[in-house]
Amino acid sequence: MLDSGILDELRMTVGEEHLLDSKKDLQAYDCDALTIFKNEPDAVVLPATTEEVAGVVKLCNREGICFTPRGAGTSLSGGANPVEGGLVISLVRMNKVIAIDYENEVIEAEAGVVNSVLSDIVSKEGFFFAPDPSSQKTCTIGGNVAHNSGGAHCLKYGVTCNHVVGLEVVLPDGEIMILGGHNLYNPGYDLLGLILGSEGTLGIVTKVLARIVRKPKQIRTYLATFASVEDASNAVSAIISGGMIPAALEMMDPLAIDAIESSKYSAGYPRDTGSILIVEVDGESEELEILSPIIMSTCKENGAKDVKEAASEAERKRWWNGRKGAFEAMETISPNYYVQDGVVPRNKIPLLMKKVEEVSKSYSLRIANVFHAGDGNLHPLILYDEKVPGEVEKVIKAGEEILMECIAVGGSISGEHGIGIEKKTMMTNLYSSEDLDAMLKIRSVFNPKNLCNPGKIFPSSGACASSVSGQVQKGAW
Amino acid sequence: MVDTSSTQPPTAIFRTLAREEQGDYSIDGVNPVYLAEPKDKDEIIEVLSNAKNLSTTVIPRGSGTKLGIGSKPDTLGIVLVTKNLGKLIEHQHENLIFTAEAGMTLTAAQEILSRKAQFIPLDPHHSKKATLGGIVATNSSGPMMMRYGTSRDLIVEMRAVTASGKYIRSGAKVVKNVAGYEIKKLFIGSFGTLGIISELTFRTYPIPESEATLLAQFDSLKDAFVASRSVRDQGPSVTSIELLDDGAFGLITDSYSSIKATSWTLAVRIDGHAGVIQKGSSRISEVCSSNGSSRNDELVGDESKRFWNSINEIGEVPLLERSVHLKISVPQSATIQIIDKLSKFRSEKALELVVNALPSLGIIHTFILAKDSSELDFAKIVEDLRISALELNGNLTIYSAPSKIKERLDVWGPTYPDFRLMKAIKENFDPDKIMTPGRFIGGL
Repeated sequence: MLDSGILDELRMTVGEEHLLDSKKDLQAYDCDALTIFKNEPDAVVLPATTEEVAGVVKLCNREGICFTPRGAGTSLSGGANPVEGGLVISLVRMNKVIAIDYENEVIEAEAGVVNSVLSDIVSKEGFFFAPDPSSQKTCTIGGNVAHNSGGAHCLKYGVTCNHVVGLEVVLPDGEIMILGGHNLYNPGYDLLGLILGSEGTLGIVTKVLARIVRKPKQIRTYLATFASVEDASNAVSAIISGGMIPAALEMMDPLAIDAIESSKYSAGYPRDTGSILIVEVDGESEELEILSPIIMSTCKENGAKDVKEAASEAERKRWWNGRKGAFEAMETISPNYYVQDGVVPRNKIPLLMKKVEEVSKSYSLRIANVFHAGDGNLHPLILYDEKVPGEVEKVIKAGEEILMECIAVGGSISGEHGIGIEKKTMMTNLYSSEDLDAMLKIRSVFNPKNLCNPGKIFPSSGACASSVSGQVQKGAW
Repeated sequence: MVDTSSTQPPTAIFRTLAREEQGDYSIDGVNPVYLAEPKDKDEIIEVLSNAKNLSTTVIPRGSGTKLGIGSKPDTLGIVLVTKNLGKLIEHQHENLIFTAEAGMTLTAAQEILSRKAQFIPLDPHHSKKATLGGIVATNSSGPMMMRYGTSRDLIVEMRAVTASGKYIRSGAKVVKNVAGYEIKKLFIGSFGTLGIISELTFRTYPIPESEATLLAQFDSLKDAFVASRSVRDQGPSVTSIELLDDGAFGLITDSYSSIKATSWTLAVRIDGHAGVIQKGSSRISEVCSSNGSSRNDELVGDESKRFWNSINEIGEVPLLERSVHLKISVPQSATIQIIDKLSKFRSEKALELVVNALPSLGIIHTFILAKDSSELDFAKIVEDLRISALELNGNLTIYSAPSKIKERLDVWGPTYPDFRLMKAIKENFDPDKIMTPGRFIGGL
């Protein structure tokens, strides 16, 4: 619990109505999209400006109070979970687009601006913001920076770190820092690159200067049907090693298709098949004239039973709506689901799929598979019922077993969701103690008291001065 | 510091340089004392721990093409040459992943990759000789940056020995990875101040089926710049745009004597499938003509490649050997203001200089000839240009200069509040100040 003097000071900083501390309000902030772990904060503040964020952070730094930044709360790794209680600092009121500079192809926005708003606002001038996580209609750009988010189209366009050129950050001691800018080369250590993907543990991002990209002149989307995931994987390898880099290569297995088709995201995917692959190519029309037949024949040569092109923009949108709604669609076939984010060398996908199948059998858990096949980024969705005793523990173990296999084949435990609280104990499997020590040295430079988003990424959590008693944990930890 | 005349190294891991050898490794006129040529990470660790015991310093060196960048060192202890760290680790061609030791040259890497029709899209100055480690440590890039980005966009895994002798890995051999802090990004562009990069894994790209370059000549800088803006918007098949003044164009195009430069040349590279190139090229040609180009020529295939290679090698043209090479980075829309200023310097102050710029990236390279340095006040010229760059929210870095001139110049320019974090990082990684001390920005 925070004492009333501190709460008053916080109210003074952000305004009376922008501090929440009722039981009901706090429950709404006890987790993000990783619902398996829950921890209530002591209070939530919703600052409207960078100065207000800095004011709140300074107070926390002075009083030794932990604080956890939060955007839309769509993190799948628990990035916005206030593990050690303290304050949640919500950035959702910082939702203004500050400037659009078409001449230099950048947009400047506050951290709470929703990802898809960036694309919408520059669309009429023929631009878009490329990173497109499935949650793009709700997730914020600040959260994207924290998690270095990817999306279906990062195969061609890259992830968030390839698109952010400048940041305004409130450091854990409350100092406001500008990193990067409109010019592309700045001598000195790449602190901007360090903040990207640091999951809110090095400071709170308050403003983002992001690149906008010219929309492709033409897009063509194909849906290929295969007898097995392995055939589809071979097609993916053949497309990439054939020298083509499509805009997207997305695969789904029968259980995923079944869930999507049974949900409001129904996309008209064929149900009676071993896997489907969405292939999207974009560019100039002459280029696509050449690429399209090659892609179709490559799929067929690798066993595609059928390859069809989206007949209309409406059909294309429906296919993507299905893919992007896949996680939520799981709720139609299972009370709960737990998504994994392992990433492996592309040609190891069939190997990993076998492992997933084994894990599914040995733990008696259904596992659906949706993934960014072109990137080797798997999203096994482990289905479970939290009401069944012991099931949560089982799910976590099953997930770990899959991730251990990702490490064993030379991959990593997260492609785009981050480590958060979810996978922090696995960091010692991925990295040596020297690797982790080097990272902790960096944290000690930015966040020496470990008050800023504590309990994330690293296996050993630093003790936080405030409110350890405030923890409410559900599930095994 | 060590007594340079008599010290014998305690182990066989490095040796004292003979006086006549020292010049080969000197930096800004300062000679190193020892030479180390480690062949693996354990030997790198040994060199660093010996350096600590001897209270001397270590400066890494690949092919030496970028060692002109940086402040003049006070002293040089051990020069650590990476020539025995040039092995291929693996080329997972089906995954577009390439791993090699940092001492491999970019040319050697491209040769291996070309067997599977792939390449690393980095094309900085001195591409032919430069090593992967040197390119990465100096964060060097070239015209292809427009499409492919820089080292930070291309390196998926790095292995390095930190200044304090810890062997670390950052990243993994996969194209997407969000697992802990990106230490590798700290090492990119750190100019050898944090440790020794030992191994690099790049994501590679397929070599485009064909390429062509359009050379459009303009009488006016403004027309050329405006054309470059329209060309930029022509879509993804445009991979590079370079704007050259007649001096730069003349220096690199002896073999293209049939094309006469007027004042400004806009060079536009397009690549992709053969069928696309043809149409793309004529579209670019139209765009340039409608923006006032007086003549357009097309280079196809190997001729196109040769042209861009010559741009990379411009710093090796004998005439430019004694020149002050500046790299200026500004927002792309401000490129014209900097070039305009350089043009005025040439006409009003009779400076002999050449310009090659990347207008869609806001990067301008200029080489100012220093034939008779005593007559030119380079400190004033550089300061004047730097103020312009800073006013345009950019910066100016001195890439190389004859050492007598360099002594009087500020290589990096001002630091900003974020420098305190950089300094703290340096102190954490290199508490004994072993690595390349004092050469990087702010004395890092």
